[in-house]
This record gives sequence, structure tokens and C-alpha cells, in this order.
Amino acid sequence: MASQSHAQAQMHAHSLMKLDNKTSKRSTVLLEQNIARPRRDRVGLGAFAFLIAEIIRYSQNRVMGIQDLEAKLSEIGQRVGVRMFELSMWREKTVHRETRVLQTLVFINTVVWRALFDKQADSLERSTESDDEYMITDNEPAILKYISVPKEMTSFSPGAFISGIVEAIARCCQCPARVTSHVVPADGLPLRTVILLKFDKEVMDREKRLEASKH
Amino acid sequence: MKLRCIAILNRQDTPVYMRSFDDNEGGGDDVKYQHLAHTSCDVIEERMQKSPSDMYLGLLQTVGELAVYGYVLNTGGVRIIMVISVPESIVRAAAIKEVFQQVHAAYIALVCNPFNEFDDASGGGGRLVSGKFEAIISELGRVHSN
Repeated sequence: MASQSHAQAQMHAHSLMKLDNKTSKRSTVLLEQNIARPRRDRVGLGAFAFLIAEIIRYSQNRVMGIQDLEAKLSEIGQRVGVRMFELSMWREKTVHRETRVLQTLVFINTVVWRALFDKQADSLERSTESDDEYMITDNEPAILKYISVPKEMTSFSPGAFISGIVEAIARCCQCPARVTSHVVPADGLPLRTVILLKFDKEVMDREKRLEASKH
Repeated sequence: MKLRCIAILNRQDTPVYMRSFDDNEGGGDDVKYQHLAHTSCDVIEERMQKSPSDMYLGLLQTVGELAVYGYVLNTGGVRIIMVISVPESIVRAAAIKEVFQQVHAAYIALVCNPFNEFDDASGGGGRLVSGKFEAIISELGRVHSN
């Protein structure tokens, strides 16, 4: 049974902390659970599939064109991403916030993906053509399992939601990027989604400067 | 330890939330705490540079009978400032840290609320408005009012 995590919990109105963490009882109601120590941090895939199908339909009613649809989904994803960033940093309890490109990508690949989808992203690659493009691959994004794109919209990738989340987190880590998602089916993996991050020029300049000053 | 005021400033040092626990003076005293929050900003920057690996910044300054403590969140520079009346007995740092952590937790819960439009990613200065957040802060004020 596939399962999901805090992204959905945030979609519902999220409850707040009880003041004294030690004496809060284990509550069976999702909304009253302590967000620092999630005891039941999985949401059924069915519930979330319903929610994301409705999100896509809601967006489709309000836009004209595939680009706008992807932009709208990305915007919704960004709202989730900002909150996911705060929550992950709180749970990690580390003081250091990633600001370098590579560390940010690793953070997204491991911590964020694990918190959202209960697995790590399948691969992280750097594009060979341009040195400011990186690709995160997810072989089977669970949240898109039940979304089927009609033939006349084959260029639309519902992974725009995920790319919105990644874009918000990259921005919070001071590495703003343009993030898009593309469906690149491979054998046996028809839903394989590639999230392409194109970092802004100032980020790459900063990286070059930091690399140079280290040597 | 008598809690007098809790203020939250964003990365540009704009006050995003201010709550004072003086019940006798009314609105006039908020100006005093805003002034304290602004004057503490430089000290915060200084302390952040000195010890970048610590969220708790310690005692920032004392003005008359008020002591100001600071705390930085790890997610990009949102600051929390706490003003207490200078106590007769020594206040342990652990007690202050605990209050800060509770405010931090309440803040995280507030930010995670999808119905809350406060978005600090771009540094915008929205104001924090939430009944539950206020309830937690009031509770903190009540507990530490001796």
C-alpha cells in the first residue's frame, strides 16, 4: 500500500503544537498530532490521489493552455515547498542551512523526498550541455500514479506540482532556479519524471567565486 | 521570570509580530518594545556572525529593568526577541531557551497552516494573524508571569 507524508497533512488545515510536548497524549485524530514527532505520518495514496486530481481539475478550469496549467500547478507546489522547507529544517534540528548548489540538491534529493514520498529520489545528474542545469529523476512518482494525460496534451507534465515544491525549496536555500518537469518514459517506467533545474546566473557566478576562493 | 514581550522580526528586521504582556498600560508601551526590538537588531547581526552554529543568541542588552534575549531560526534569519523583567534570582539559559523553542514550534505550526497567507520566502512583511498562535503565546505569558 503506497503511502504519503506531510505534504497532504499540510494541505488540510494543520493543527498546532500542544504547549508541553512531553505530556501530549497520542491522538488518533490526524489534525491533533504533534508535528515534531509524527506517529502516523502516512496518508493513504487514494486520499491524496483524489486531492491532486481535484487540484488539477480546479486549475484546468481557470487557465487557458498547457503552460498556464503547469504554471498554476507549480505555484500551488511552491506553497507546499515553502512550508515543507520550514518543517524539514525544524525536524532536522540542524542549524546550518544549505546555501551551496550541490548541498541544496542533495538536501532536496534525500531529506525532502524522504519526507514527502517516503523514498529518496532516484538519481541526480548534471547536464552535459550546460553547467547550470541539473536533473532529479523520479522513476515512479507515487502521487502521479493515477493521473493520465489525454493524447492532445502530451506535452503537459503533471509533475509541475513537484517542480513547484523543488523550486520553492531551492529559493529558500538561496539558489533560485527555474524548475520544470518532463515525462521521460523508460522501459517499464512509463511515469518516469525528470525535474530539470536551471539555476540563475547569479547563483552560478557565486559558485564559481566560492570555488575559486577555496583554492 | 516575568515575561514582558515577545516579538518576531523577519530577515529585513521588520517586526512581523509583537505581543506585550503588560496588562496595565495599554497601547502606549508597545512603542517601548518596538524601540527595544529595533535597537537589538545590530546586536543580533553581531552575535550571528560570532557564533553561526547556534540558534540561541543569549542576552543581547539590558535597558533599565528589562533584559532582551534573542534567537534566530535556522531557516533563513527570522528572529525572535524576548524581553523579560530583570529578575532577582539568576535566570538559567536553559529556561530561556525552552521558551524560545516553544515559540519556534508554534511559529512552525503557524507557517505550515495552508490557510495562512504569511509567506516569508521573498522577505515580504506580512503580519502573523492566528488565533491558535495567540493562544500559545498567551499561555507562555501566563506561565512565566511570576
